[in-house]
Amino acid sequence: MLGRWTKAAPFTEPDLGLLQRRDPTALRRMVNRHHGSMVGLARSILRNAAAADDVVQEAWIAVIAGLPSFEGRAKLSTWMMAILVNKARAHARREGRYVPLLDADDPYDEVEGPERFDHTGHWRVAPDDLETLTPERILAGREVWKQVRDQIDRLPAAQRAVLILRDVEGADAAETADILDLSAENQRVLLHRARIRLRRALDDLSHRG
Amino acid sequence: MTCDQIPKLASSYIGRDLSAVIRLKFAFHLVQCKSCRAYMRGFLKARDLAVQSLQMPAPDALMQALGLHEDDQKVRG
Repeated sequence: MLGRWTKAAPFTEPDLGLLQRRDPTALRRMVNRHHGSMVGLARSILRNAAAADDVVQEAWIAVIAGLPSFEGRAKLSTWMMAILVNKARAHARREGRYVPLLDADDPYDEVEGPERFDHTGHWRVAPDDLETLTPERILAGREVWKQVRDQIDRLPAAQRAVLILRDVEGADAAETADILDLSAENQRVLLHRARIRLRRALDDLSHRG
Repeated sequence: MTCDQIPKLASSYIGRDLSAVIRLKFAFHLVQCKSCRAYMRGFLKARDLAVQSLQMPAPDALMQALGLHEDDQKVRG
């Protein structure tokens, strides 16, 4: 029973040998796989879309240049995200705009609003299991994947960064806390809030459709 | 355990961060409660959609800047 709910989403590491030999197909696949995460993370740190795009391009150049010397001590995606975060922080510091990621700017502390439960603590209306949401489905005039991406963009910066590292890139709690310079507890709370907020937003989206 | 506790614990449950006793209570509640199973399925579905939504192709301009655009490869090839 436990395994059904706690099984991690599949994260497949690319063939490192192909990447280190600069196989263009493997490199393209790697960039496509991780570019969205890179952009989301950079925006979380820089809070400026144009600056984030510049830093992401700089990070990709550094990643591709550094691949031959990557020794595989960390997961490839973790190594890439650490390069990106370091570059984003350095850029923000140069611009005098570095703000550490904190959850203090997020007053949100509700989980599911109490209005969703009756006085005995049971759901008033059963939640949607979201099974009908597929990335390509059109809801409220747009594909679901674009709406999900918008919802991720709307998360507070620290929640977005943690969600991307944990759920999209498959980093573990310690790696995520280390890369983002967060305490273990802060990392856990931010992930919880991000997941709840995203799940709730998709529930609303599902009902609108 | 009641339904209103499930969202508060869902993230820790899938991360195996709960104590053994709470984890068992949570699992037992899921066995009994269809609504909370639907909630948890949606929780995991939201995670899957997050992964898929961020894995769409990178912009052509970036691929060109990195020398990885397919047209560039054909010219070189």
